Amino acid sequence: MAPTSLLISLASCLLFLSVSPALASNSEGEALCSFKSRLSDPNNVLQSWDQSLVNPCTWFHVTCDSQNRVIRLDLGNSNITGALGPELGRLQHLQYLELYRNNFMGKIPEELGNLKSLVSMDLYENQLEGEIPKSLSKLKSLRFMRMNNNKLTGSIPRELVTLSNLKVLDFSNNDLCGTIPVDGPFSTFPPESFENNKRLNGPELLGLASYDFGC
Amino acid sequence: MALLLIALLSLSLLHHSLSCPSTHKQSLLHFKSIVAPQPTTTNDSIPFFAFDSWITNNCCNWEGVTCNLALPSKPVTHLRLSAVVPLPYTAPSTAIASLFAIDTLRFLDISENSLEGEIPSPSEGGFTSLVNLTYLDLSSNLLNGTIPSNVFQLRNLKHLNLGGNSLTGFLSSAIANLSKLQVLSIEENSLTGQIPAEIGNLIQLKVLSLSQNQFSGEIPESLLQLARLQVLDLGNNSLTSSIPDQIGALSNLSFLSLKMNQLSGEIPVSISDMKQLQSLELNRNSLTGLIPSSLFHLKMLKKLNLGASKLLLNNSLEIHPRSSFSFLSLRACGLTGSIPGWLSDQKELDFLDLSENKLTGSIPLWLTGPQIGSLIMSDNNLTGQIPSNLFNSRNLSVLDLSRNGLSGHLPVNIGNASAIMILLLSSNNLSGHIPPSITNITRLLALDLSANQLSGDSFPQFRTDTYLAYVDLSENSFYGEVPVGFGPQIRSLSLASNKFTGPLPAKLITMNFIENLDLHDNYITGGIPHWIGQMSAIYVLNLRDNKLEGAVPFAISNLSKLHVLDLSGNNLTGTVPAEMGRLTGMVDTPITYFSISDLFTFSLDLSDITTYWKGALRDLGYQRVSTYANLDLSRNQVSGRIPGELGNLKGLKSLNMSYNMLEGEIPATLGLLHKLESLDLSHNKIKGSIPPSFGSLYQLTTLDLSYNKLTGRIPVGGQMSAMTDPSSYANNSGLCGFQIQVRCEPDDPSEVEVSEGAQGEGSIGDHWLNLKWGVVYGFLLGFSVAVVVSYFAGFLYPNAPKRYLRR
Repeated sequence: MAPTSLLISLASCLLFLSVSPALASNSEGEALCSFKSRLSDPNNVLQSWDQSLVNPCTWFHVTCDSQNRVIRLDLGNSNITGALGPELGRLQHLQYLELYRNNFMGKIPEELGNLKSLVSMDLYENQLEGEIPKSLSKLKSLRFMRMNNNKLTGSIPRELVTLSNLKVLDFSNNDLCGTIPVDGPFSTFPPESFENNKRLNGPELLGLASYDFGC
Repeated sequence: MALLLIALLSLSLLHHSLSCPSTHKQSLLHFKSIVAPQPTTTNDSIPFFAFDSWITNNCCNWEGVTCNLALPSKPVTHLRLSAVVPLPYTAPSTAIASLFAIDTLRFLDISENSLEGEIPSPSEGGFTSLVNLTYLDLSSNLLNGTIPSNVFQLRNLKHLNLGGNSLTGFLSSAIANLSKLQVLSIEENSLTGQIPAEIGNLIQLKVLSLSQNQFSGEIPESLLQLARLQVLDLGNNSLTSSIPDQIGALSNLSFLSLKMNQLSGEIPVSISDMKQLQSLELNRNSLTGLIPSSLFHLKMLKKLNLGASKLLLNNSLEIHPRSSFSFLSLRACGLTGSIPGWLSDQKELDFLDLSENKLTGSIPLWLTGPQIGSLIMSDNNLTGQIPSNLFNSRNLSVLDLSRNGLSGHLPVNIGNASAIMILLLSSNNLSGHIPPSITNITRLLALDLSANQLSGDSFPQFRTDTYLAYVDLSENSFYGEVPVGFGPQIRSLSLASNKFTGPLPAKLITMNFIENLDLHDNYITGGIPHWIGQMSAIYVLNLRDNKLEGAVPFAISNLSKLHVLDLSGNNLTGTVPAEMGRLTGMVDTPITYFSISDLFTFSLDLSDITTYWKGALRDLGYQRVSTYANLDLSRNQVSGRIPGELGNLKGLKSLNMSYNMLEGEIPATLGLLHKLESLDLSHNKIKGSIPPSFGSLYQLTTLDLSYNKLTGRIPVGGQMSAMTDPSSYANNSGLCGFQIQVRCEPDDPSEVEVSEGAQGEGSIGDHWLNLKWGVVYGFLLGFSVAVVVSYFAGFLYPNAPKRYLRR
């Protein structure tokens, strides 16, 4: 066996000298790596995210469609800390953004409004703060928006009533203010979707002047 | 008086014949006791051979110890104690402190001793006691922490080597205190921050190596003051900005390496002034601009590595090199046209890398010189035949011509190149058979002929003493029985995507060390034999898309290292053996991967695992195989129940049993597969409900249960609440749940999702409705009251007595 290992190390040396992979440029992989660079990942959940691969489709917690475009990012319950970067908005085919039950902090980037294929946005149970970006009203395919149990402030953007596909919404347990919209899909959401927001007031009264007091 | 004289004489004689100072001897014995402790048990004999001589009284005779015998006190001046601690033992770094008392030390080498811990730096003494030290070597240990400032007070130091440790922190500017330093090496550590400009004050420096750290920022201009510098190695760091313009001022430099950084800008013209330069490494940077022809006028230059530096070479440039290279890499330097003609004069070339360019034309005969050792020209557009002359070289050990357009047959005399270790000819248009003389290449380690049009049904039989470890013949037109004559050392064998027929040959068992067996996409028939369970080193067994039949043998469960098992697309029948739950390799998948064999430690994509991953056929990197645990039995005729024992495979990442005839219910134990990312049970006859335990599949990202007979509520919680793609559940018998917007029966006792939208009671909309009518009624009531009041107040009737209006 010894001669084999000697030869093997000789060969390794020779080849190491010669061939090393060029960094593959896949823009979705780059976006995900930028996203990763802001984060602290004590459970090494993102260890498989290797930028030398031709695309991110074999990275754990990433799912691609048959044309190798990222459609899901599933990082729920992963003990991750850090801020959400704007580069997430580059995943144009993303359908599922599952970042729930972590320690994500800072603001929700308005670039998330660029995720035009998004079906589910689950940011619940984190430490996110700041306002809910108006740009999220561009997510025309969105069916699930769960941002409960964060530290979100400001009012619920009126523009969100245009999300006609929205079926499930949960903004409970935040620090939102103003009034709850009643148009469009908002007419179907139960009060539990908004509970425990101390400064959030009951549904606005249509026909009378809408008011945003308390903000 | 005479007695006194005699007494004095004898005393001085005694003094002269005394050994080294007792304090020094004590220090050395103390060092030995820390580094080579006495065994605690009798059968624990630690082989610290170096200390065998450390038993006499006179430490000046001890191995590794040198004293200054000219002085009466015979102090210890040199300690050569490199590699006295044998592997795998380690020793605490406090051992260094025991030597501080030997203040006459001039030379201290305790390298390669696995000394673990920080470099001792007591508040008093420490290294500062060793005022005479000129040579200090602590390299290749396990030292961590920062470099103590005490070290920078050794003003007599000429040679300082701290390389090959795990030192962290910055390199202090106090380094400039060591004004006599000629050799400074701190390579292979984890130092960060900028290279201190103060290094430029060490004008005696001949060798400066800071490579393989994490230094960032610029290369300080002050380094150009080091006129005596012969070796400058800053490679493998994170240096940015450009190479100093006047780098040519280092006219004595013979070795310059700036490789593997993020340097930008152009190559300074002044490099052509470095007349002593023998080795120049700029590979793997982000430089711009063209490679000047003046670079090739450096007569002493033997090694030039510009690979992937992002520099470009204009191939139409007239280059008449005065250098006679032994090593030349122009990988990815934008070369177009044919292989540069000026290479024909290079008679000493041992290593040539022209890969990843856009070279066209055929391989010229003059490139086939007898002295060439490594020829790498992969990833070009070369055409024509492989010149048979190439294989007349006795020196050729690495040949990589992969991913070109080469055609014709493999030369019959291929076996003449008996020194070849790595032969890579993948992805060309080669045809014909594999020449039998190939078995003469006794040192052949890796053979890749994949993705060509090679054919034939007879294969060379390698000798049993062959070292052949890696063979890839996939994607060709080979046929006949599966060949097995590749010798007993095989680690990876890929014969995929050919036209092989017949059963799995029993001779496969002789491959005792095989880790990757890939036979996918052939016409192999017969059953999966029981002896397959004896291939105990196997990590990947890929038999996908063949014509195998019979049942999956339970002996497969003996493959304790198996991580990827792909039996899909065959005619397998019978049931899923419950023993599969004992596949130890799939019980625990670590997050961080380790190289599974020496052969795969170099960063070359030798082999990919082609298997289904999350709904599509993908190539899984072989380097990461230990992090995978994939089980694929899909597209067969397997029947019976899914064994609950599969729930024991705690490391499972992907389970695919789709397109079979499975029946019965999904066992609840599958909910224990906490690492499972992909689950496909579609196109079977599975009934019952989806176990609520699926709410514990925390890493599930891909789920397909479609085309079964499942009923009941889709579980909620964890990732199941994010499995809302209706195609995951389509064509079943009666699934319900918010995921598919189908209401479950009201008496269904399962938990209700908080925001179930239309299903919920008392939505905001309902409340608003109540409020609206309340307002309307209120308004109407108020209005009516106002009308009545106004009536009685007379406002309403215009014919009110005019006496109110006329006065």
